[in-house]
Amino acid sequence: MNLRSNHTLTDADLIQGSIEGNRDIQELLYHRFSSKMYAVCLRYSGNAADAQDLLQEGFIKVFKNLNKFRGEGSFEGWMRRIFLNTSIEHYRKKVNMLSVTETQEVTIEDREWNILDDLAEKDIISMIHELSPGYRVVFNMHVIEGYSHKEIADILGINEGTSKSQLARAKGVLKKMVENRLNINRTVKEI
Amino acid sequence: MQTLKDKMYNYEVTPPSESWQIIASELDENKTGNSLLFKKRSEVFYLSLSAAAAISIFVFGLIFWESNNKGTDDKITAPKTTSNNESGIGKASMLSEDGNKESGSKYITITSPQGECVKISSKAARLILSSDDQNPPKPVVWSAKVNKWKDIMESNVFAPATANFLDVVELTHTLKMDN
Repeated sequence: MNLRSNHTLTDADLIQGSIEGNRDIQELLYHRFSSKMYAVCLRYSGNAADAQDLLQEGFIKVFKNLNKFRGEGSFEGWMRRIFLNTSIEHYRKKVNMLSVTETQEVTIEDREWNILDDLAEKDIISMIHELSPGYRVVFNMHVIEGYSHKEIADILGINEGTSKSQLARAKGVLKKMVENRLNINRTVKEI
Repeated sequence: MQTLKDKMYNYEVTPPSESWQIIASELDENKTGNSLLFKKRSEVFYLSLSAAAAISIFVFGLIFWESNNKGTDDKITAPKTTSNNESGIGKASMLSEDGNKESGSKYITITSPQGECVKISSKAARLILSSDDQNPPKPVVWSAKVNKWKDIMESNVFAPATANFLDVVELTHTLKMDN
C-alpha cells in the first residue's frame, strides 16, 4: 500500500496509528504536515540547517507526545504550538532582549507594510533570517502567529515594553531591507 | 498586514528528503535505546550486587579468620597426661598452636585438667613450665625448689584467700610452724 498517496486517512487515524507505533502511518503523518511545519521552523531559525534541526526535534516531540493530544482544537494548531515552543527553547539563549523605553520605539505605520505584500514568501523568509534572533522571534509571534505583546512577554519572560520595542526595531530593519531591495530592482530595471 | 500574516502562516516549504529518515532512525533509537538502557542498567545492578556480595564474604571471612587466629595465638592446650595428676593442679604445657613455647602477650590462658580456662599473667609461665616434669631441661636447683613448694601446697589443707586479712595471718602462722 502506498501510504503517501493515501489521503483518505483522517488526522484521527494518523494519530491513532502513530500512537500504536505504526511507522508507515507515522511517515504519512509526517508528510502531511512537514511542509507547513518546516515553514514555521524556517521563520524562527536563522538558516535552513537550523530549521531542519528544529523540524526533526519538533516531530520527535510530536510523536512522543501524541497520546497527550485531547482532540481539543485542531491537530495542526497543536503541532504548531509544539514547533513554536521548540523554536523558542532553541533560541531562548540567543535572544538578547534589550529593554528600551516606549519613547525609543521606532514607529512604522501599518500602511508601510504593504510593500511586504508584494514580495514573495521566499524573499520575506530570507529577510527574516537576517534579523537578530530577538527581533525575529517577536516579529514572528506577533505579526504571523498573532500573539499579543502580553502573551509574548509571558512566554519569553520579558516585559511588555521590551516586546513592543523589539517588534518596532524589527519592523525598522525590515523596512530598510525592503527599500534596499526595491532600489536594487529599480536600478537593475534602469540598466 | 493581514495579507502578510495569511501568506506567511500558510506558507509551505518541502523539507529536505533525508529529514524523515533521520526522524525515523531517531525514533528507533529511542525505542531500542530505552530497552537497551534498561538492560544495561539491570546488568550493571546485578554485577554491582554480585561484587558487593563477594567483597562482603571476603571481608567477613578475613575478619573471622583473623579473630580465630588471634584466639588461638594465646591459647595453651591442656596437657594430655593430666589423668595421673593427683594434686589436681593443672600442669599446662605452654605450647601454642604455632609451636612457640611462650607467648609474647601480657596474659596467657591455661586449661586446667577439669577443662576450665584460666587467664594468668605471662610472668607465671616460666614457673608453670618449671613445675612441668614433661618439659625439661631446667636447672636442678630450681626444679627441686618448685617440687618442694608443690609438696607444701599439697600437704597444706588450709587454702588462704588473699582478700581476707585473717587468712593471711593464719598462713604466716602455718608457715612458721612448718619451719
